[in-house]
Amino acid sequence: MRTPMNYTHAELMALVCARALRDGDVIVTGTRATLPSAAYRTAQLLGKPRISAMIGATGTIDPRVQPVPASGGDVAFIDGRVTLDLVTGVCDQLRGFVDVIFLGALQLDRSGRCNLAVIGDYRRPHLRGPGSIGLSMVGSVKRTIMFFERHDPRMLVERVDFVSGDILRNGGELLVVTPLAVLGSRAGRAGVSLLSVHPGVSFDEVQASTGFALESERALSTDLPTRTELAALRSLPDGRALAGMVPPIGGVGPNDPR
Amino acid sequence: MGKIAQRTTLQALIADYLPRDGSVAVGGLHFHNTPMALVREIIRQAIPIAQLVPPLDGSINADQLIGAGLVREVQLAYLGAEIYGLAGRFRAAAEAGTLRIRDCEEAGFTLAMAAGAAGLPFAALPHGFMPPRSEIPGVLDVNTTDYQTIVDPFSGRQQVIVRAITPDVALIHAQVIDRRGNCGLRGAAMLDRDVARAARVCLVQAECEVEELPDDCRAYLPGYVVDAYCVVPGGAHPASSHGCYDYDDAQLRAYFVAAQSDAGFARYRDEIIGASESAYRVAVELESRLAVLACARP
Repeated sequence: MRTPMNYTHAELMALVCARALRDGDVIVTGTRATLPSAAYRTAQLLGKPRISAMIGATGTIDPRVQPVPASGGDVAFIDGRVTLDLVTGVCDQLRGFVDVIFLGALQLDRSGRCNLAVIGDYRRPHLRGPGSIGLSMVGSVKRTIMFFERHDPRMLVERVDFVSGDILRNGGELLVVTPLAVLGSRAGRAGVSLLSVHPGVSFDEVQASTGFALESERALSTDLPTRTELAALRSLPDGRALAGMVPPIGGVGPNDPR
Repeated sequence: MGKIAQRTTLQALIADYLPRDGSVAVGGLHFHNTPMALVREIIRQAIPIAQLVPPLDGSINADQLIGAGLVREVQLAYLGAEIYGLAGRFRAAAEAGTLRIRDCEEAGFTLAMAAGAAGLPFAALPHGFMPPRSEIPGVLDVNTTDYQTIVDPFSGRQQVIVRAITPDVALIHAQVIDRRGNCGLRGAAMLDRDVARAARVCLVQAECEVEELPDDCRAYLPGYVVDAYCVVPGGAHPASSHGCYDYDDAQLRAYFVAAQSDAGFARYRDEIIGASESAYRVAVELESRLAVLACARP
């Protein structure tokens, strides 16, 4: 869907992520890597060339293939500088070589805890998710970027049903990017705050779509994409692939709790 | 003690080497480099599995074994369908409460597999890595079979440890194998080096057998870790076999749609998995699919 400003939600989300990355960052992202990949490659074009990326289940560092393959284990990833075995990939995250982790989740709560295991009672869940997998890695990777393809009160909740990862514990930082707004940690504030509301979206809309109370007085407006940003993003196969992200079977995927 | 790899048939490999009610680990990752022919043969022979250890990212491999009603307990970090959504048979069994689950996460699962491969009793996670126990369940609360807290005798601090994964059997897919059982890899090793060694018995299905491993592949499993193998061209289908063929999007989609219901899975088992691997090859028109999916070697 194109807004009147002629950019898509996914493009704005990717640019918000690109702005949050710093030159020299090492990022890690699992499956559904199109948006993170579009983001870091755009950031590389816009003055942060030394960002490095560990992408997908093959453990490849800085894969050359574009657009990024749909499945994290695709052999096309291996055309990179280094392919790690998975033990080394995990150890490099535990060791602290990785600065930023991109994640999705079934739920994220106002305390910054995330969940990919179950919705409902653990023993008899309403929905059994795939499991905690890399969400625990927030225990050693200090900056987390979570992206949600829908902004939904069943995903952004008061309290998660299972703690797969506790992002803000031990000084972790969080940025949450949705089609409506940017949320995240803020210096001097506990928990998850509203950081900015996207252009054309009202605070009330964001609040109605969020499962916990937000504070309105300091919410800014998300900066519009600049011409330069959009040109860089659209010059990339990953940027152009944002439009073609395919919904999962039955509409249920790691970003959808139904 | 080193092993001498025995060549046998797909049917005999499962019949002779897979214990009833044992623990079974599966190699590969998601729907890549994963031993689907061995999985299908377990379903045909209906061999019950007491504990299933899917790959770090489990997928159609574990979902089919669960759908066939053969699995009592699963130890997992992730079991889903990745780009296709959730794994329908796993989800149904978990929500019905008919499957015991040992929930792990990526670091603990990976290091526990590496510990099993090294013959260590457990792995330790970095201090402060895991969220402490709280009123909301987390891995430390729900899986005390695998995660425990001890006092680190060196520092005196609380320390989370994870029990080594030591399955009875590992099921591995290799692109090439030689007559001594040395396995050659094209593409990513995933966690297979560790899965193969963590198990007491390592069973391999290979795309092809050669006298000597060719230079264009990397040897990654020496024959001394392999107990027995069979040669099944296209045996990873509908998953990919790196450097041989890509994953079969249409067939994977068909499976994960079928796995949304009991009836859909039953039909898939009867009509696609079938009574033999040759029946499977006919049902999915494997020869022509592999021709379409063939990929350039990396």
